Amino acid sequence: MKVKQISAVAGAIAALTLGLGVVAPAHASGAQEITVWAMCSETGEIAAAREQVAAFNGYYDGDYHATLSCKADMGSAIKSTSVDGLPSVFEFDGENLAAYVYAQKLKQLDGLVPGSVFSNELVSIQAEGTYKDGHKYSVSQYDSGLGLYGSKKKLAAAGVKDVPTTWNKAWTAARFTQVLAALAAKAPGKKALDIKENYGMGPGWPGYAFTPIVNSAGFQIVTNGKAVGSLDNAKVVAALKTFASWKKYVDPSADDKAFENGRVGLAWVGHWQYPAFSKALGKDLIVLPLPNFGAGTKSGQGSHSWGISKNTAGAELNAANVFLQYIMQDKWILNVTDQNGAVPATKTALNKSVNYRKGGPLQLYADQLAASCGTAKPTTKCVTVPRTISAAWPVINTAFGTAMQTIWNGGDAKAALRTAATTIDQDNADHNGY
Amino acid sequence: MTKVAKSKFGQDNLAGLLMSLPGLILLTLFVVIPFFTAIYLSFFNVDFNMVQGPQFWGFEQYRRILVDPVTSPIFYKALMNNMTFALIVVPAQTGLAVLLAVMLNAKLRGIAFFRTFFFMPVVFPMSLVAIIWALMFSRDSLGMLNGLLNLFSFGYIQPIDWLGDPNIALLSVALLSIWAGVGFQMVIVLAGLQEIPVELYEAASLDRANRWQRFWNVTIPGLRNTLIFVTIITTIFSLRLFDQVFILTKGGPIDATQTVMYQAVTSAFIEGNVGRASAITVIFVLIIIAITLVQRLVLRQNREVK
Amino acid sequence: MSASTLKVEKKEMLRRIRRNRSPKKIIRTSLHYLFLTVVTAIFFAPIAYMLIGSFKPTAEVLDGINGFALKNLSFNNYLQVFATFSDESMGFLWRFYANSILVSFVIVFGGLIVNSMIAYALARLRWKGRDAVQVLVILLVILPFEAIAIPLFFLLRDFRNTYFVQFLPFIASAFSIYLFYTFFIGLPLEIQESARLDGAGPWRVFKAIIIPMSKPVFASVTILSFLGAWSSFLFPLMMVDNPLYVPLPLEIQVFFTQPPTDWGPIFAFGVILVLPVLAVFLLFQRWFIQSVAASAIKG
Repeated sequence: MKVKQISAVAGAIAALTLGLGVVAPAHASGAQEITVWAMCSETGEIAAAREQVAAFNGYYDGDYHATLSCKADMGSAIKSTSVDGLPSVFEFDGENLAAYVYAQKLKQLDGLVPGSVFSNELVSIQAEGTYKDGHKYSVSQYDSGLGLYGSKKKLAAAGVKDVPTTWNKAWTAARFTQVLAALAAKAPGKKALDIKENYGMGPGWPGYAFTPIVNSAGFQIVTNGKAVGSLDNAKVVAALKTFASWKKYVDPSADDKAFENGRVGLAWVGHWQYPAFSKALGKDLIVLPLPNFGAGTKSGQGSHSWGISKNTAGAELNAANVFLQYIMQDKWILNVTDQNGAVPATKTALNKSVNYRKGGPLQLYADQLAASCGTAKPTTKCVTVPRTISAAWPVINTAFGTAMQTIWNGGDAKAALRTAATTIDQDNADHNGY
Repeated sequence: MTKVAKSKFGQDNLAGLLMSLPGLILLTLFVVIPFFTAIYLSFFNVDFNMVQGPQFWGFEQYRRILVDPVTSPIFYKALMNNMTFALIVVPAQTGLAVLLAVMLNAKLRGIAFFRTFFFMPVVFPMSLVAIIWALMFSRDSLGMLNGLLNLFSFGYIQPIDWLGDPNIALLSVALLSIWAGVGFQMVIVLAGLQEIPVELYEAASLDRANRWQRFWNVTIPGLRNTLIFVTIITTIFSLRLFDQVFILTKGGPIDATQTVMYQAVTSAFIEGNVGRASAITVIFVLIIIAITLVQRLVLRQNREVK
Repeated sequence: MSASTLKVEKKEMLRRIRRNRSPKKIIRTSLHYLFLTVVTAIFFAPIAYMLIGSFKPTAEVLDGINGFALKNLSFNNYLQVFATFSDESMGFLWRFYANSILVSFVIVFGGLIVNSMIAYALARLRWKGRDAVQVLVILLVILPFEAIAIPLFFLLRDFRNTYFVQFLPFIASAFSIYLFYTFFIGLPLEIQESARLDGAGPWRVFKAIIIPMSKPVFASVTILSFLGAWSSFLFPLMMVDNPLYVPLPLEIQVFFTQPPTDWGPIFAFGVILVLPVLAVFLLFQRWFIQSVAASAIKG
């Protein structure tokens, strides 16, 4: 029968290819093997990941050998893999640090990675990599910058003269509303702002881009272990209501190019858009701080981090340690940040970066990160706030994102935030405070 | 099940058991045991990573899902969405399948050529279908659907926010699900159509029945069994709604496309709350059983004597 | 008059009616074709959109009606997809294919053996416990996979990223058993009974008589379980993330993780993903369609 023949062939092919795949590539024997999982999903990050691993293998040929594996969804991969199945070293989204430490999947790095590496890191990065026990569990090659991008020409044409370039001069929310109205009046499509709605307004993007609004109203999401009273505080509700009132000025940016193609004069997004924006706008591009909702402008921080999995030991641990230090060299940090445009995570690399050093076009980001609030109550003296360093972050992220989506679509802000806060507190209680 | 005609040759105990064994083992291991595990786990607070051991919670998971004022609304919303979705998709998809089947039942040359196109989406993985439609549903004028609407209405119809408007999102998901599934049902109905004896149509024509009357009085009754089968299958499939929602809307906007399965999977896989996910699963199964029983009772199929 | 002459008369009458080649008929037919073409075109539009878009740069894919315009066509998107999946770190395209083929293969063919056997035992043999098993199978037919997805995920979490976890839970399928069962019940009893009278054991009857007579249902089950296995998403999503073991439909996620979404390569990947199944379908479509229909009629 035809079917039988076809299936026999298919089976043979499958078996053959898999057999081929199982044959391991030969390399220097005696080299200590380590496995590396990286989050190389964008084209640029894929290349960077491959390059630094190849360079590491070349440099330590005979001593160490790293095998790279890219994960499309690192969060799920780490979450669903028990600690025995984890690789020697892995890259992860920094927001999950506390969750991984709590799940006993990360190794403490104090005493392993030299203190000089940590002290060279940006203040914000050090905050990101520190768990509530005071110890360090990750290093990072880059941090993120979040703010507004603007078109000088459009702002001028709209009659806006007080354009802030440093974070202490950020527009107030009220002033920002006027700016948006003025810009929209002059725009053909009557839109003024791109907040990257196309990234999705549910859990995810808002957890990074719009939690600064909560902070700017003067609150962390969770204060003294409680979200109720903090996240759903009247000031926060008011701030988010104001934000939602700007929806009429927002271009949904389905093609992701609302700002680039000149449909709007302002964009609320991060460093990753700089290459495309500077290409499109050239000298017309300006970088500004996010609006101030009462407690000073606030911004986000945090990006990918690297850690060693808890059960890595012995010679493998040694090799993993060497690998981390290798990729934390300025050369490799700059290699990846040149490709993805992020903020280099060490002071020395930052100073070498054309974009981020003093006088560079993205200096604002560096300045903001240098004034990290950490986990303290946000004041007008600090800017960037790390995403809540707690094992509950995934729940917080989901709850906040859901609330944001409701609020953005016109729902009751107070109720939405109250629901989110209650959910967070209940989860906390279920886990006995983690 | 109908009774097996009595074999006159005694018991085939050994053969019966042996032949069933592989199937039984696999079903027990991978269906029965997990099912009871779900029931068991639903009485505990279990975190996927098991950092703190499982704690016995009795009916707490169920209380939270069904009764708690803060955490239960989302479950009921999901349930209502599933029901609404089923109520939209089952009639629409079945009706469309019948129309298409009738259209394709004509004795024209090359009619099979057209049939292929309608069946094609069935071989597409739903994840791919969702992605194609993600782009078609783009909310501004650059989206394909909005572009088409604009074109055909000469600019009158404004761009619609297919996936972002809570009132429309579920409809949009229904639209793409219907598109993806109608071919499957159409083929079944087509076969059913071809089983209707030609004499019935001839008799109707002789009685001077017009096309419409022939349709209602010959076609539809003749399709009774087929339609029942198709309805039951589509209902069950629409209650399982997951893939499209996961890829397109992640349950939003404002839980407009939240579904029971999506709730269960996010609880387990993303939040790691296995106890809650198991409880949702158990409730879900009970609902499915109830619906299926009701459907079978109400729509008893005419079984021809074989 | 006899029944046969009545029939002949009827046929003559119909022939006259049908042979009516009036202009009215021709217009009717043309309209019918036109209507069909329009409806089919509308229905096919999304697929055409994907096909065309896979050859265009992303910016021109998301461009309203112009998404259908045939300009600036190139293979760039495909090249990008191949470049992305060009080493161990991201996995290889052929590997994803091989994974999907292997897993589907085992599910389908393992299923044919396992499910037909138990269905035969339930349909034609008498044995202790048969009734209980019948009830069990009926109950399981109603139970959708989603009911056990979560606990399966939890129970098998230590076996993630293997082939076994991808096919073993799916070989036995209550639905397939039911299809086989209904078909076997419908087979004429006489042949089986005479074979038994001649002393053939149940296995022989099964192999030598039942199977050859059951080609249609074997074809149906093959196709239906293949479709299910190939496009399965939920379970692999939770269980597999290692590029060595990932099945093809899952990898589309790679293009979705970091916004902005690059639609050109996504469509190219979609085409690559669906092409083999589409090809098989087009070649064997009569079988496909017949199987689906047959399974429904019998069920």
